[in-house]
Amino acid sequence: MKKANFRAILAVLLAGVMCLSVTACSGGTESSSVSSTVEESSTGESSEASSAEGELPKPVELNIATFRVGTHNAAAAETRYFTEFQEMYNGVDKQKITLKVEEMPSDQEYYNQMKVRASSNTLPDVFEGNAGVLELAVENGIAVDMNPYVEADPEYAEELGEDALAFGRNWEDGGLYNISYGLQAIGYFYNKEMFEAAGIEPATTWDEWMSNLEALKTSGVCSAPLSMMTGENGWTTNLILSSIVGTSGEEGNAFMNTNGYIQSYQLPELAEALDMIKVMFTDYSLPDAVGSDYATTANHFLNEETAIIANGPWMTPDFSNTEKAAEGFADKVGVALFPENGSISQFERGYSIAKSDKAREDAAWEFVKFKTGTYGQQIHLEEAGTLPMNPDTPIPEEYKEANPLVAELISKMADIKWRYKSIDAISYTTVVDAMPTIYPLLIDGTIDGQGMCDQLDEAAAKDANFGK
Amino acid sequence: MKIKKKWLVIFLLPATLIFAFVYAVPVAMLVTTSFTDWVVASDPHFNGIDNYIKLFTQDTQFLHATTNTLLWMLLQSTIHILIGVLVALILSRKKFYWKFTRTVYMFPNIISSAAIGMLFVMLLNPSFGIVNKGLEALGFQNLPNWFSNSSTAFFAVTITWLPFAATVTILVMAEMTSLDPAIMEAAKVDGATEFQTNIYIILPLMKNIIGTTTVLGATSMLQKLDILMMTTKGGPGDVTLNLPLYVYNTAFSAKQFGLANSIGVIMIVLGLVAVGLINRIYGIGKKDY
Repeated sequence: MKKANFRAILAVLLAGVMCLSVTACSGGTESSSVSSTVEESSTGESSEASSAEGELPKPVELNIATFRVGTHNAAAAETRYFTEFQEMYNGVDKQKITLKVEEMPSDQEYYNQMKVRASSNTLPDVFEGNAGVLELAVENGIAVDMNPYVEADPEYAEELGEDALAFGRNWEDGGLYNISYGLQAIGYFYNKEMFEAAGIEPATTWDEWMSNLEALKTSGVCSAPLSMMTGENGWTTNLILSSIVGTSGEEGNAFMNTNGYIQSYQLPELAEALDMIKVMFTDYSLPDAVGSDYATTANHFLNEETAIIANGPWMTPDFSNTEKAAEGFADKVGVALFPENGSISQFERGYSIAKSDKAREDAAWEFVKFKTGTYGQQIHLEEAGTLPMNPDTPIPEEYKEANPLVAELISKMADIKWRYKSIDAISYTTVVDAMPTIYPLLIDGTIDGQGMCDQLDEAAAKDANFGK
Repeated sequence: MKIKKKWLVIFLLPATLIFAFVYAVPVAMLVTTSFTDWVVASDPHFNGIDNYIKLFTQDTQFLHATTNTLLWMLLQSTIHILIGVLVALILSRKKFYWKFTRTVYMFPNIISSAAIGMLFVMLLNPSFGIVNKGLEALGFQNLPNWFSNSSTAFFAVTITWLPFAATVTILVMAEMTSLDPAIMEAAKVDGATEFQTNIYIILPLMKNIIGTTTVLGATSMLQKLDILMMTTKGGPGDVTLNLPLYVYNTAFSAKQFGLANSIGVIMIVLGLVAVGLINRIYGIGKKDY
């Protein structure tokens, strides 16, 4: 009897523990998945109403998500936006708008989540629409057309500039679903000391580019002159690839300015460019370039193991960061346009507003306007090196003095002959994701440039939005 | 009897409900939507077995991913298990080193897969990795970029998990402790050598646990995603692409949810077939003595 009682008590206890553990596990899983992918923090103040609140629109709390956190190069800009916006919209002089910020660990995680949210109509009030997110939101009818807001504010429209507005209105129905925050103008950085030691100048043609690489290598200045990569999205490699095609002539340039997404990669100029890229990897890059991520390839340039890296002006703060490069390294770096005076010149896609009630949409508009107006563009320039969209946007002299490379790039922009987009910006997500796995096949000789074009076609055809 | 049944129902109910919501409902949804053309931002429409026909007749990446997955399942069911059992047999001799070796051998199994992936990326780095540096010191030249060369990537990925069979070792060793000492003593009295004891007595008696670990090993290859994400992302080309990664790519890159779910269903079927086959081969659950 005693034994039976003991068993019964043990069974009840066991069941209790199991139930508790299951409950605890399920709760734990939920919170850990939230904390591992999305860290919520409110940058807002407490919700006490101000005295002037009665005359102002009701307070609104906006849901914002960002991946510009931690070591992201625009994290400082993002923090400044949030802080200054909160100070401005504090409920005293202006409506109280609180920002509830979700921090995400990477842009990839951000866009993966946004795709799901765009499908389920749970987007944050203000979101970024890369990687097909905005296409989904527009298709689902949950993106706000910001035309009425801009039309009602001609001063702001002027701050953006006509080109940036035209870029935002590049939709079938002419709706303004995204407003850019800056212009990507990309050339390449080079090590002036290494160039001088090899007796070369920045190349004006692609033949000269290749002979420069050979000169850098044979002169013993560096064994591998180029910082290339295939990992992540193959960023530095794709910039050079885009430039070879974009400056190859009218046809190649038109290809690299494709409106929307590339439907076919069958272009002789692209196949030839890929064959050139292969040589750059096999003959002029470090052995770990294949498979390398951005941090590694940038590190090679910062440590003076390589002489050239293609990248945008947002990299310039790294040159003077003594945690990343040696003291005085910034003085050794020069900036140049790509051969044939080419430059990747494209607007950032920028911000969009998710449909909601009018008060929330209006508040979201205030935030978008703050981030993209003249002052917002200046914050992005100062903190993240993103160029202003409007060429008339004043650039402070102090900034130019503190950032001579960016100033030099801006001055070189007048010489640009060929403007084009990066291949990532005009390729379906499936292609961007496939490129890092196809490049190694090109480099180890399994396929040639034409073979890679065929594989890119196959990757494009897999995208659910292909042909739409 | 009635009271017993009542308690039985009460105790089983929470687990049954959790199973239903966590597994049964999603699996039912998975199977249902695998027969649809569901892509992102659209409603699913029934399209019969089109997804399956497309996968088996047009999708070369799927066929490569399936071949790789089956090959890894086979390697994990054989070489991985063999290594684990051999280590268990060696450690069961309880020589002076056994506790230290058991602990060290366990390390790769307690470190997260993502960290293991990063570790191997560093070890096999063609510029500064210790493997290439060591081989260079031994006189080897033109060493490959292990993860990024199409002729070495499969091997490089496989080596990140194949030798680390500590789970097999621990389970087999635990089962060994339950062996009746009288059997071992009888073998000794009969003059059996250690090798003969291992081959003719211990291993046959370990059949159930070896079968169970084989099931675990084989099915673990239907879940392998993290290491691939950290190392090759399925490349070069689709040399190291497996089914879990292909599901991920199809759902989150291509945004073709219906097709991704069809692959999911195929993975479930593969898992069930593998479990059935291994159960049959090992006769798991059947008594030999």
